Amino acid sequence: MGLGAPHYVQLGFVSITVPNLVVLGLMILVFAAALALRLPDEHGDDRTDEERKP
Amino acid sequence: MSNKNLTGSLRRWTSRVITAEELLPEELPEYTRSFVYLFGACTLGAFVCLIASGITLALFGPGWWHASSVGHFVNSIHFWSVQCFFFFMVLHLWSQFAMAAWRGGRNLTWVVGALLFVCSILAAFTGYLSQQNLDSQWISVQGKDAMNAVGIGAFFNLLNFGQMYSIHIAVMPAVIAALITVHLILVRRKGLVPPLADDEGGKGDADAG
Repeated sequence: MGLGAPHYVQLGFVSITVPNLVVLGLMILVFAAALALRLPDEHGDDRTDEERKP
Repeated sequence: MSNKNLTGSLRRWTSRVITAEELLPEELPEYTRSFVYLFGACTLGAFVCLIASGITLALFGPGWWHASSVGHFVNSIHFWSVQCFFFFMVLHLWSQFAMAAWRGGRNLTWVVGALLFVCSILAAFTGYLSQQNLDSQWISVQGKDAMNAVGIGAFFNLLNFGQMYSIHIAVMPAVIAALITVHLILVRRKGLVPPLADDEGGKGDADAG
C-alpha cells in the first residue's frame, strides 16, 4: 500500500493493528447506537405511540 | 387446459416458491421500525456499489485503475464499498445472532447467510490477489502454502493473476448474487424475525402494518 507498517496494539496474547482496532470500536459504537436510538417514522415524527396520544 | 410446457411449469413453480405479495410487501411489521433492521439493507446497498464500481474497473482494466486519477478514484470506491459491505454484514450477523434469527423455521435463511459470509471472504481474498501490487504478491505467496496444505494447490494457483481475477470478477459475484437472491426470498417468505421479547412462536407477521 506504500503507507508503511501499521502500529500494533498488544493486549496479552491478542495482537491487533490500530486500523483494525478502530474499525472494531466503530462497529461496537454503531451497534450500540442502533439499539439505543429510535428510528423516526416516515413523517419524521419520532415520538412513541404513548407520547402521541392527546 | 393445463400447459405442460417448460414455461408453464416454471410459472407455476415460481408462484409456489413466492407470491408477488410476499416478494414486495407494502407494509412491514411495527417491530421492524428500528435501526437494527437496517443492517441487512445497508449490506445490500454496499453490494450494489461494489458491483457498479467493479464493472467499471473490469471495463477499463488494471492499467487504468493503476495509472489514471479517475481509475484510482473508482478503485477507492470499490475498496471502501468492500469495507462497508463487511462492516454492515458483521453488524447484521451480530444483530441476527442476538435475536436468534433462526427461530420460526428460518434455519435455511440463517444457513444461506452463513454461506454468503464464507463466499464473501473468498471474493475479498481473490480481490486482494487481483490488486497487482506488493500486497497481492505477498498474500498469494503466503496463501499458496494454505492451498497446498488442504490439498487444492493443484487446482488454484494464487500466483496466477488471470485465474484469481476471473474467479473474482465472474465466479464469486455470480455465486454471491445467487445466494443473496435465495436469502432475500427466504426472508420474504418467512417474514422478518420478531425481537425475542415479541416472540409468539417466532412466526413474525409479514402482513401487519
